[in-house]
Amino acid sequence: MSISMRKFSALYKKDLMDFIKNPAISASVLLPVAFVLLYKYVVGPNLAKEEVSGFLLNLGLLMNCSMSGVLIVSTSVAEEKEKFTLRTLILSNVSAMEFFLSKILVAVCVTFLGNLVIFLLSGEPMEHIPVYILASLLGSCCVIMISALIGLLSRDQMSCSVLQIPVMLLFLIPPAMASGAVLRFLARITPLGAMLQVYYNLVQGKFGGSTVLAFAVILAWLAAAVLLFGYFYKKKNIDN
Amino acid sequence: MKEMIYLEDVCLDFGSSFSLDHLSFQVMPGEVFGFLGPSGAGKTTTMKLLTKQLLKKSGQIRILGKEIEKVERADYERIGILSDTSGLYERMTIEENLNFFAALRNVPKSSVRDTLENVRLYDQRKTLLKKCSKGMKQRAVLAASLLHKPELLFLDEPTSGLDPATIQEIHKMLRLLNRQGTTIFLTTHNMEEADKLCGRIGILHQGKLIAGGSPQELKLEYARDEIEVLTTDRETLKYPKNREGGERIRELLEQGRCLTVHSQEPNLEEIFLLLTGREF
Repeated sequence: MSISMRKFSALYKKDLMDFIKNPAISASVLLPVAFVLLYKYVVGPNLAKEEVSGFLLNLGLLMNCSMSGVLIVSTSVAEEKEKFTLRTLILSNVSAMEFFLSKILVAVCVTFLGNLVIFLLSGEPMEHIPVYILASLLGSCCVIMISALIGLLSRDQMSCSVLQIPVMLLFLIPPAMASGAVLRFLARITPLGAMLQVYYNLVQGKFGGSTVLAFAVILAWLAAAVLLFGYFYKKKNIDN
Repeated sequence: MKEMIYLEDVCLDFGSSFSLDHLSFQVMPGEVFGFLGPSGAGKTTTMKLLTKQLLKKSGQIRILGKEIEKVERADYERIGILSDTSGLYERMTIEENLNFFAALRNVPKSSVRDTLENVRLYDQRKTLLKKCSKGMKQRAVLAASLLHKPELLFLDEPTSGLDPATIQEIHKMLRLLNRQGTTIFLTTHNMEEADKLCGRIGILHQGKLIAGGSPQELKLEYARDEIEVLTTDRETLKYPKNREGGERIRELLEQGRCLTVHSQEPNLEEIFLLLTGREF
């Protein structure tokens, strides 16, 4: 399947402008940053510095990756289906690859930017940033691919939100509240829980089995999302 | 001269109660071909088959001289499509929408200005699409399908739900486009629109093509064999189209008693009723 860079560039610019003008999805990035700011200046002064930075990073990163990651692509795709702009694009000779890749790239860029701001606000040491970028990119790309799948499966924005909420909660709650055996286990097998595991293990210089397992979890989710996306895309390809 | 559109014995099953039944017709370059029928006749389904949104069960379809299975993405750069459900981006202005589609189609920005002027939207180009009236939105969507000056244009009910003034403007634009060489295939349930705009039409009923030809040919084929005369006494008289009838009318004319003389051709809606026994 070929991609025209000219079309892809036009789609990307349009999707980026639409993201900025659409408060329903631009809030998904602003909200985690706002929460981090709120906790930093309201709760933070009452905690030790090391506790604060870890807490802010976990909270912000999980919120941003789960909210932005899940909401941006799926909501945008569902809206295009609902408002029939997707049909107009297809009839204007835009390929599915160009359409989805441009939305995925917008989501990756926006989520990455949000994650970077959260890292800077959290007060984590700057030498951790390369590992942070690697881990956060892996985790967010995985969630974004699942978001693309949700968008593909949804007929409209209403049915999209029915799928978005449980996925967001599944990715957010276990790693955020990993107390108790069940939640800890779930946290280890969700992509964002594995993402945090990768970050903290690499930062502490641990390259052993648990790090490899965490990488494997993220890649397994990503592979499953890509395969399911391909399967459902073929199924829905033609009207009849 | 190769046909722009060619269908032969095309069949499609679409659910248990509906199908396209051995559809055959062709559209030559430079024509405006109208596909008429009531709601549910299969017009949009046929349009979707021609634009590869649906797959045929059997038969042959050729677009731009190629078998439809062999029509490539590059060929679609020569085609414009206005579907009954096409939409543009509501958070963008009319101009921003057209600039976006111009970038997609690799069309210069000067084309956007020209197209906006042709559809009478240049003065409203900075209006957000969500604030536009239905007529303005429809013209904007039509403009987006015309930006790249397609050789072949598919229009699915382009004036549905619009007011007469807007319809007239769209018709003017389509005639101009056709004079510039674009072949137009349009579906409509508006018989008057088909009569005014189309060089040839096909009438569809329950998935079957029941009549075809130019509007005038169809009207003459199904014309009543009588002439209606309105006299100065406001009386309507009918005479057969023969020597006797002609003499009677001549007498009335010589007496100065004729107000109007009509040849009683049916309109397309009456032809449809004649052919199907049901109302449009």
